[in-house]
Amino acid sequence: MDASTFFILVLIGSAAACLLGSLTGLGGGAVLTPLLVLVLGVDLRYAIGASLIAVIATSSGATATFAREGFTNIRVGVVLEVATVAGALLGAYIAGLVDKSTIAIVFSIALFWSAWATLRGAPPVVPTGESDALATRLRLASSHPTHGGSQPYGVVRVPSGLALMFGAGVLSALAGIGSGVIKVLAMDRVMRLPFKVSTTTSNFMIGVTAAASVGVYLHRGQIEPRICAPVVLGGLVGSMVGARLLPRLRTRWLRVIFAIVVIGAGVEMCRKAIVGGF
Amino acid sequence: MLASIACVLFGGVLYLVRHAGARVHVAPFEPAHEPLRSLGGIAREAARLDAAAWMQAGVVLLILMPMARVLTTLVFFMRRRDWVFVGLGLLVLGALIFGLAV
Repeated sequence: MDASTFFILVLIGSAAACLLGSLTGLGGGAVLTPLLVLVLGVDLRYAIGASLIAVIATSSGATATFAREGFTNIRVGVVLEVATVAGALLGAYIAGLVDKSTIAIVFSIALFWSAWATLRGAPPVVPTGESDALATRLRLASSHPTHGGSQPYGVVRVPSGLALMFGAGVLSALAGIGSGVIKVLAMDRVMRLPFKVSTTTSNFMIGVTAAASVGVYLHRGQIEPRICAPVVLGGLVGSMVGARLLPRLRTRWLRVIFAIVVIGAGVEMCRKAIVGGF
Repeated sequence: MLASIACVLFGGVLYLVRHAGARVHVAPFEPAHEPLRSLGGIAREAARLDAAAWMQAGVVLLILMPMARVLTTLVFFMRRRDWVFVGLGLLVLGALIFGLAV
């Protein structure tokens, strides 16, 4: 394929991946990697690097739009970032030791989990008003805007949240995804933050997590500018459009179609890994 | 963010003008050209108007954006003299710089 056709295809592909990723909550990386590998024949090692770039673009593009609304809990974000960033550095290191088929399998499992979590939708967890001892000491409790005015909420089980976040960091660096699904799970199910606060805080953290591991990928030569440049452009545009559309769209059907596509991609990645296509 | 887009666009146009018909190498994996793998190398090659280096510079600027965001929160906690959180922020920032620089 010649350079200009490839550039334009990746540009359109990453814009679509980040647009749909931000609309469905699956993130740009989950869609971009299969697209690059299965459709455009890109080596998985380049694809993971490019996908981390898409993750940062999605996080940056969306945060530029959401940041003002007062949902993000910066204190919780910073505490948990310590764990995700540590996990990401470890994951990036491990990624250099294992072979491509293993990474493809890990990636597929992450896809299946994300698709399942996305289909299930928002959980019926009722946030608590109270915080436990550690959360109180760190003053993590806050409030968020609702229709009936400002609603205070408490935070619990910080150590469990940290452990899950560490795992999310490792997975993010290994598979080249944002692993927003695990981050949201850790915050709303475990730490009992309101869903909207969990998703915005997760988005705030995703870019930081990916940035931690992408440096390692850069030194390893997995960030190929001929592939990543169109991803930067497409990713930023796609996620900004996505963030603007999100409040106005009913995303239920989109999620279902998308989860099916993602599951299909996961199955194909798995098959390729097992028969030795990498 | 605009600087990142500008670099990528400049490098991208330069690259497409020079190599529009060239084949892109996408598989099997070969590590990217050595200078494109470190910050100093990217700056040196960009000074020579190397198209790939300009695109890579845009990519690196995008990577710096989350770092800038951590720096902003760090300043926020410093103003409030919230030293525990300044420490946590420094830890995160240190890890990010470690990942990119070492």
